Amino acid sequence: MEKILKNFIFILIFTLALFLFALVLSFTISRFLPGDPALAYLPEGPIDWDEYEAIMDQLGYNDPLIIQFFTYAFKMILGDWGASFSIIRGYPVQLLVTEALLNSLDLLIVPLIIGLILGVFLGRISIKNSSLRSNRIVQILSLLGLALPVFLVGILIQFIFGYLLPILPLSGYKSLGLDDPPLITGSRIIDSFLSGKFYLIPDYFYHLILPWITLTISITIFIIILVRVYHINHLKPSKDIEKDSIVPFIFQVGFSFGTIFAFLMITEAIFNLNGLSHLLFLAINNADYWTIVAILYVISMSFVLIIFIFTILFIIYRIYQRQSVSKLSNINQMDKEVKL
Amino acid sequence: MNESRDSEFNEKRNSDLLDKIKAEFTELGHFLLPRLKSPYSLIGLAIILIAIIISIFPQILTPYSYTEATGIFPGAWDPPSLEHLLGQARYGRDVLARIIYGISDSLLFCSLSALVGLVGALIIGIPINYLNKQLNISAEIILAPIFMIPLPLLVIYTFFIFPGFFLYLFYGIYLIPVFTYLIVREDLSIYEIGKKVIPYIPLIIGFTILIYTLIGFLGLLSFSGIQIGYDIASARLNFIDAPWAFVFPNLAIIIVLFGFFILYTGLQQSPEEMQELKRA
Repeated sequence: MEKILKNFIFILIFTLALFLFALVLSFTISRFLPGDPALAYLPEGPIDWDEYEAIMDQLGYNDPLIIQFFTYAFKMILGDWGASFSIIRGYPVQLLVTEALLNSLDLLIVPLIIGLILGVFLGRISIKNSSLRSNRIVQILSLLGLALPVFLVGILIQFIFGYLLPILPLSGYKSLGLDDPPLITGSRIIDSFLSGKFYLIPDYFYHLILPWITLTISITIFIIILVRVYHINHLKPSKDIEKDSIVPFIFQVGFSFGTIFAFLMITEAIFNLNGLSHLLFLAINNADYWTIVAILYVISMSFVLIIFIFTILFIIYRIYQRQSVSKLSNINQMDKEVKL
Repeated sequence: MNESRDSEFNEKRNSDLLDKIKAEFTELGHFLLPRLKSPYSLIGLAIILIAIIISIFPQILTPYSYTEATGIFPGAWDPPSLEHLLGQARYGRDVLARIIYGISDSLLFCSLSALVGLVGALIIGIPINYLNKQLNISAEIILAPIFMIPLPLLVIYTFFIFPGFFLYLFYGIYLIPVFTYLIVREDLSIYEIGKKVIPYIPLIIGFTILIYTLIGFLGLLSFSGIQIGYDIASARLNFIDAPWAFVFPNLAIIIVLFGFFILYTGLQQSPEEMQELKRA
């Protein structure tokens, strides 16, 4: 029990350190972004420089850097992410980013779960009996699959199922003529359900089928390669803790979230989906300062959360592993005593 | 007399150290050579070598210079012809020339990134290796803050701040934790680290080329050179009318990536596995 408490405290301290690191990183980047932080608060038309200076003072941009950092940290943590300058002038960035984030999650969750399960399953098949001739074919196919860029997969799927056999929509997230649900939580599915516009939900899923397929294929192939790299031959703890490959595999999946996020960005671009990366490109192209800052913060915090979750998994697995190995050695010891 | 004994001792120690280093390199050579002879490695090396030769001597395959490949000419999206073997893309540019120079840029960029990553990993990996063993802290925990810098953030940062081609430095920084992760679990010797890291180099370069192409596809690379991902993105809009401008650059990237990944597979195979494959 004491050990579990110690491990838990370690995880908390570690996550806090990561959280601070993420804050410093996103603060540093935010100071180099294009766009002006005060423009979103000025009225349209010629700039009144006295008003501009007053707003910069109010936002804390003339304060010492350390005070600026703490102001930034408090604002980000409390959700005061400013107003959009150019995407929807004056619109709270928190609402913009939340809606985009929830759309991205709608796109990511299903392919991630299926991709992880399929990837581990197929990866283990591909490394078992790797000397057999038939598995040479599997090896080469998985390498070819990895060499296929995700945008090619998406565009080919779009071309086949959206153009040649037009059974699924090419892009977008809703059919023509359909309206949007009222903004309650920001999630299209939840808001449609809460407002009683249930007909929007199947249409939304219908538009997500091709993006889901694209993302699932890319994530599956990526996980297959990870499984092969770590030679995951078993999912139970092994006697040889040093050579056990599950832990680095678990961590590598967590740390590879940057790559998975890149796949997500490509998929949103190909299928023209209004997710986080779409919002990011819009913000970059329109120099919408506060939106870019908020998205950077959200991405950094997502990674802290992911690493926190994987660290918990790591500790749980280590405890389970030690208990299993000590049970195994107890059984072996009893066997030896019986034989003696 | 003490001085001469000290200098004799130092000389002997230095020559022992040199002999040890020599022995480790020889052992590393014995480890890698059979793996380089595997069919997978040979195919991978052949593809990579052809790509490198074409990058250095593009005139083998195309009469167009780098400047001509970035100019504006009549015949945008025209099909393959004798003058333009793989057709023309946007602004009438030759598809084959764009592919060759694009691959060349990708190879140079990603190899430089891998080099930065490897050198950085050796600098920080060795102290982390020491910490890992002495304090029994998991390498994953120590590396987490570095892994936490997500590639999209890095790209945005460099997109805004630095000239496009110096992006390779930042890609290299992103690769440091990847290489470091390979180093921290091994014994600190040239043979052990080389045995672990060298087979992964083709995989890491391949992945870097893939990510570089993806970033180019999204239009986030700010330099004015030739970027295959960007060409593919612009050709995508004319996929029906000019499929050659989309298909051929994709094929080129797939072949190059396949070369790197299959070389990685070949280097991972032990001589015993190769014998079993032959018997199968």
